Amino acid sequence: MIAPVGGATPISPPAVARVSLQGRYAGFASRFVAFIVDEGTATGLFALALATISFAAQVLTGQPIHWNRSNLWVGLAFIGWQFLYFAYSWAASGKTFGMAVFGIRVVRPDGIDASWRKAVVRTLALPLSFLLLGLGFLGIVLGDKRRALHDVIAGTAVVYSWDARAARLRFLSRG
Amino acid sequence: MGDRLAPPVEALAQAVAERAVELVVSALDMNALLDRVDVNAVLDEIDVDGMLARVDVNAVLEHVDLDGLLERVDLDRLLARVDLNRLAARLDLDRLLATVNVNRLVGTVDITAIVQQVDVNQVVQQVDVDAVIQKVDLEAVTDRLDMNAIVQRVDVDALVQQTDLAAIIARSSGGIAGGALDVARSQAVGLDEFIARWAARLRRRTYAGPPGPMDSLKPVGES
Repeated sequence: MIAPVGGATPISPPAVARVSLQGRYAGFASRFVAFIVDEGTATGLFALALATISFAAQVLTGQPIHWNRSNLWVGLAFIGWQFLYFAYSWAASGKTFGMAVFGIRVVRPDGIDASWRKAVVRTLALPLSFLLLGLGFLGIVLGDKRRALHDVIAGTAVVYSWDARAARLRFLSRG
Repeated sequence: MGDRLAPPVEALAQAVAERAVELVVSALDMNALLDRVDVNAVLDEIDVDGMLARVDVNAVLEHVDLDGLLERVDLDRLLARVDLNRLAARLDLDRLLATVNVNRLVGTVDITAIVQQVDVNQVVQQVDVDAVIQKVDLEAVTDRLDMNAIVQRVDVDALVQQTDLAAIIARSSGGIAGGALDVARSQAVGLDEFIARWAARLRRRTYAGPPGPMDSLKPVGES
């Protein structure tokens, strides 16, 4: 049990968390912030990998490698890494790191786990939603199943994977 | 000369007196004599209290054969004539009990033997526990408890040794992280719902919470 420090008022979850949302289609905000977290994580890991390689080169050869954003190979490596990051995460568990943090996961529209094939197609179709001036994401807000363009192409959907009601009970039990 | 004559004279006088008494007694009509005696008057003359005061009761009792006397008493017949209820009514039980040494009495009782003969299960079955508990003033009981003394009797060291502290620390650490995660997710879901309500308003639809895969399924047989 965690006591409030310094008499601070504990943060109360919104009223929506009073019911379980597990298995319901996830909304735009959850998916967006999860994507932001994923992009930050993937980019950070990629930058860390480049820095590690540069450091290793300096140790071995005495000359560090200076990476250039406009370098074609760096760009291709970044795209490949992004593909690997999303495709592998969705194929392996249906969720990336950011999605795990915000309690959402990729499934088929009927709620069954998505296959690795759908995960790959979804990853490849993801840029299309951006390339159409973001209109590909409009389906998340206006669609009955809250599916983006890449979801429709891959035959997937995104649902909440956490039990909001259980979370609220945990929250209350902590006082 | 006088001293020499005295013994034969005294002997002669005693013999004469004995003979005279014998003759008088034989001549007396004892029945007639007793008839003329007023016994009641004689008894009135007797100082019974004074006489009893002079009697050594202990010496008398020593001569009495109590065992022989009791053997001749028919106790059953005697008790049959006793009105026990009337006797009990006259008893001052409080005064009687005050003279009883209860501790000594209890000391002679074999409690263990008595308890062994008691069928505890049967006794317990007849007890209305709910009624007993309702009569118990728990607040009064707790007020009488010395909680400080009880806590001091707890072996804290042994308690800690039996507690998996590592698991507790890990659980509390996980609780902190889990709490932050729950709050972040709840905030995100709150935003989801806010956006969804506005979207439903734009589409002129009633929003009834987030949809799910099961919502599109219809029961078998329903058109």
